[in-house]
Amino acid sequence: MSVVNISIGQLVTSNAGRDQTNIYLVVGIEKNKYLILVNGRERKFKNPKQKNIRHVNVLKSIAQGVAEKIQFGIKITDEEIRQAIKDLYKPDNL
Amino acid sequence: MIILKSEREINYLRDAGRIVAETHEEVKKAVKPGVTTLDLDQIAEKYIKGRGAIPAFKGYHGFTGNICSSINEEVVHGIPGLRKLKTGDNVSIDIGAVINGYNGDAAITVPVGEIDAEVQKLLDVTEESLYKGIEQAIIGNRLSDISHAVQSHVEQYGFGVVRDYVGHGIGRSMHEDPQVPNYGSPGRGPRLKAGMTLAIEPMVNLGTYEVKTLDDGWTVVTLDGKRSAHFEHSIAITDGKPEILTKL
Repeated sequence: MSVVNISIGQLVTSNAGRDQTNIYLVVGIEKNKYLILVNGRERKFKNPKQKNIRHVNVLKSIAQGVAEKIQFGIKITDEEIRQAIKDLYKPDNL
Repeated sequence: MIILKSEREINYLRDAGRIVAETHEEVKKAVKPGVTTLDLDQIAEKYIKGRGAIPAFKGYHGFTGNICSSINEEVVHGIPGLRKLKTGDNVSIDIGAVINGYNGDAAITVPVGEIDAEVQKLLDVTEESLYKGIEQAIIGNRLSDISHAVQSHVEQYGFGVVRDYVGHGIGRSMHEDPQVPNYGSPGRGPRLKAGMTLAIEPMVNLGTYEVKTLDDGWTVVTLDGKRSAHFEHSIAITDGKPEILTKL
């Protein structure tokens, strides 16, 4: 059985739970089962949301800047996360 | 985190892989026009349980089948049901089994009766691409060398490699790190080491590589409705050639 192709920095939308339709960036993947999600607003980098991988829709955009910073362990701010989501969440990118 | 397996653990994976391979043989014999995918599911369940193993897919994130059976335009994760196989169909059967806590996972695509030459070519190329990928799974190579080998073999025939679903590491859990994509440039990703166990699974479409998920939340179909094929083996990277765990 194959797994959904999700990488760090990927844009996802919630499709289950009370945060349904919220947009998040993936900042971590645990055991190929849970995603660590942030949006820079209700879910800041210090207090991320853990969510089952099957409870999100995966969108095609990846925030390369954020992904690289996480990979190299550079600190990212919530401002950058908000900006990345704003830049990526456009009809052409989905 | 990529978990390296000891020789003892690989032995357990061999046991699981052998059961999966034998189940495939059983199910393959039963594929003929008029048979429903639920029949295949039950044959697999009976065989796996008869060998003292547990079907790995049942209950996985709420999946209801013991196997995934995807017909024609269905790419992967088809839920076994009352749909009957017809002559000219191609059905992909994905089986997983757990024994002693270790997983085996493999898939094949089987033609039902006579099929079009074009579809037969698709099946052949997909299977070849799997072995091209496995050839690259040697110590010192990087993970994306496998991906690149699969993609370059498939795309020279003009078929599309599915991007949205990927292979995975395998061991005590069915899905472990790393993810094994079937596309990408060579020389990227972690270096391969002895003791890594991977499930490599090219999913190849006759037309576009784009796919969508149906409302049941599982069945993945091609966006343009053209046929798709899926082959998978679990392998262990050893000091010499890679060892295919799910082959008799």
